[in-house]
Amino acid sequence: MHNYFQQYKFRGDYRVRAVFSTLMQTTVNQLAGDVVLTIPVTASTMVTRGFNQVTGWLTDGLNQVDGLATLVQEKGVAQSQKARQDRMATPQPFKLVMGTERLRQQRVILVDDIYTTGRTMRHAADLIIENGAKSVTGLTLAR
Amino acid sequence: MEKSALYGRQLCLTPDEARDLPAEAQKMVGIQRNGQTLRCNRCGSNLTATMAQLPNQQYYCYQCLNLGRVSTLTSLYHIPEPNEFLNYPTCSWQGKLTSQQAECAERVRTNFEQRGRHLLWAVTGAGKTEMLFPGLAWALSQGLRCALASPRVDVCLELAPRLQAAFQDAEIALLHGRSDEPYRYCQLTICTTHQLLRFRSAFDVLIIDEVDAFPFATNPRLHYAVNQAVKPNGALLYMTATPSRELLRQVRRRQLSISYLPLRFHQHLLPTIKVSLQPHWWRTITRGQLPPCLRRKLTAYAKSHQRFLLFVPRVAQLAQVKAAIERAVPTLNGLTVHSTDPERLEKVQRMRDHQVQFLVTTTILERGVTLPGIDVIVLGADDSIFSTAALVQIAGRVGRSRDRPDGLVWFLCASYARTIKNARRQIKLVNQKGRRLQRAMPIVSSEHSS
Repeated sequence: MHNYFQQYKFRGDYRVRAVFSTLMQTTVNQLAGDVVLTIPVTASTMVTRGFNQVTGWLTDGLNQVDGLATLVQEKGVAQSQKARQDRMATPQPFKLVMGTERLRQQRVILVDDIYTTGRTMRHAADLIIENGAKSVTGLTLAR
Repeated sequence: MEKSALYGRQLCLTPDEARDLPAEAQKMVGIQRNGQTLRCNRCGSNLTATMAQLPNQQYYCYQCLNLGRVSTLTSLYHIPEPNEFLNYPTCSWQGKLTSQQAECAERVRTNFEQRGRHLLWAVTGAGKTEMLFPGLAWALSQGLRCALASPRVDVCLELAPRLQAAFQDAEIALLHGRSDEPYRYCQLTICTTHQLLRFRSAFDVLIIDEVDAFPFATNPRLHYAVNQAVKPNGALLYMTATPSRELLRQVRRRQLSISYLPLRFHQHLLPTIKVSLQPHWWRTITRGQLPPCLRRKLTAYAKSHQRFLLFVPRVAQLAQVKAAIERAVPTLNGLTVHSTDPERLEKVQRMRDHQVQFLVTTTILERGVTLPGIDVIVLGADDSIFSTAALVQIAGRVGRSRDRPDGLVWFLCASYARTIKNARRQIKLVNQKGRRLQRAMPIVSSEHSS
């Protein structure tokens, strides 16, 4: 799994999204939520990596639909470079860029690539609940 | 970034990374889009759009990904090679070439002078590296930028200290994928052929050692890299003991000149291959035992402390073979090594330093490695993984020192495969030519070291 993410995220081999795309898509369908959201990547990552690794699994890769966006334009230190203490102390990094009416009383599925401390997931979930969602279910490929 | 880091290079950078580049830096697009076709400007691959696709109509090259991704989001940056070297190194090598070697060396030097394309075909252990010295000395004294590239990292690692010893005042950059050292602009570069993808019109003299080795022979991107890295009017020299048909075809078409040396540096012939048919060698090993003939041999080695390499076809067989040896002859002290072994380089170094008596290995040690006075045993030499060239190269590991110009090359195999026949035939042929040469020129005593 480590090698997979090395190839996919850090080398940027977008082709290997196909390895897990069926698995991720069927799992999302089984969870039967009303809204599917993915954890966004920063704008600077979009410039260097050129894709959101989670959206890559869920869509054919061409249409990037995101309900969430990151607040910070440049990320200082990548989440994967931080120790647990630092990760837990991360402030809310997300903001909502979709209308709240789309979330009201909805069951939301939130998808990310790797779950480590849960900090990222919880921040995003908090934001979604605050905006009126009924429930949030997290789905990650690895932990 | 230092200006010199871009001399003759083509570095793939994002707009962000390229912000403080020197003004001279030229910018080229990473991926060339021509209507429907996509082409990587670094490795020259033609890309399939569906595979190269990123979101938002962006594309990347999936062929040379390991060197950092080239995409429509990045550009290649380049400064034309200025040959900006402060002092030109001189050759401090004290050895002497045999008359045949000197003849080849002279051909190599004139090829550098005339900026031609040349093939140096010399048997394993002929002293190819030494034959480069006169030509390299000339090129370096002229302020030319030179590089010696090989498909194998082991070959590069072995060449670096030898060249450093021969050109003591030269600064040598050693570049390969496993190195952590940052790039340095030097007049002389030793690198793997993959690293050539990072150069553009850089070298006046480019030498490719072991041209027929994997992955160079089968990888069109690496051929592209060679033509890209050498200056348009630069000299190109290929070296090998086992040239491919394609190279020999180029010789026939006179696109490539050739010089040929069938004798080793110590003027002895190549050791011939001994073959034993052992149809059940692998089954015996899986039972934790060694074929009796091999056990006897290894017991003898344990007494005589003779060092040896034992080749097996597959990585998965290494551990079982070593376990069987340890059980049968516990006094032998050895290691296993394969291409993706994280300690590969250290292990080979321990063999060089005489800390272990043997290595069990796959084809990675087939070439470019000089371990003086060793014997070689190949288990399953009829396996399709061993090409004729590989077998000839493996046999060529033996008898590479003046003190022990012969030694045992022993193939244990289930069948007498065509590759084995051809390898024996090739060695026989080369030895015939060598014998003729020996007769024509009675042994010249010379004092150079290998």
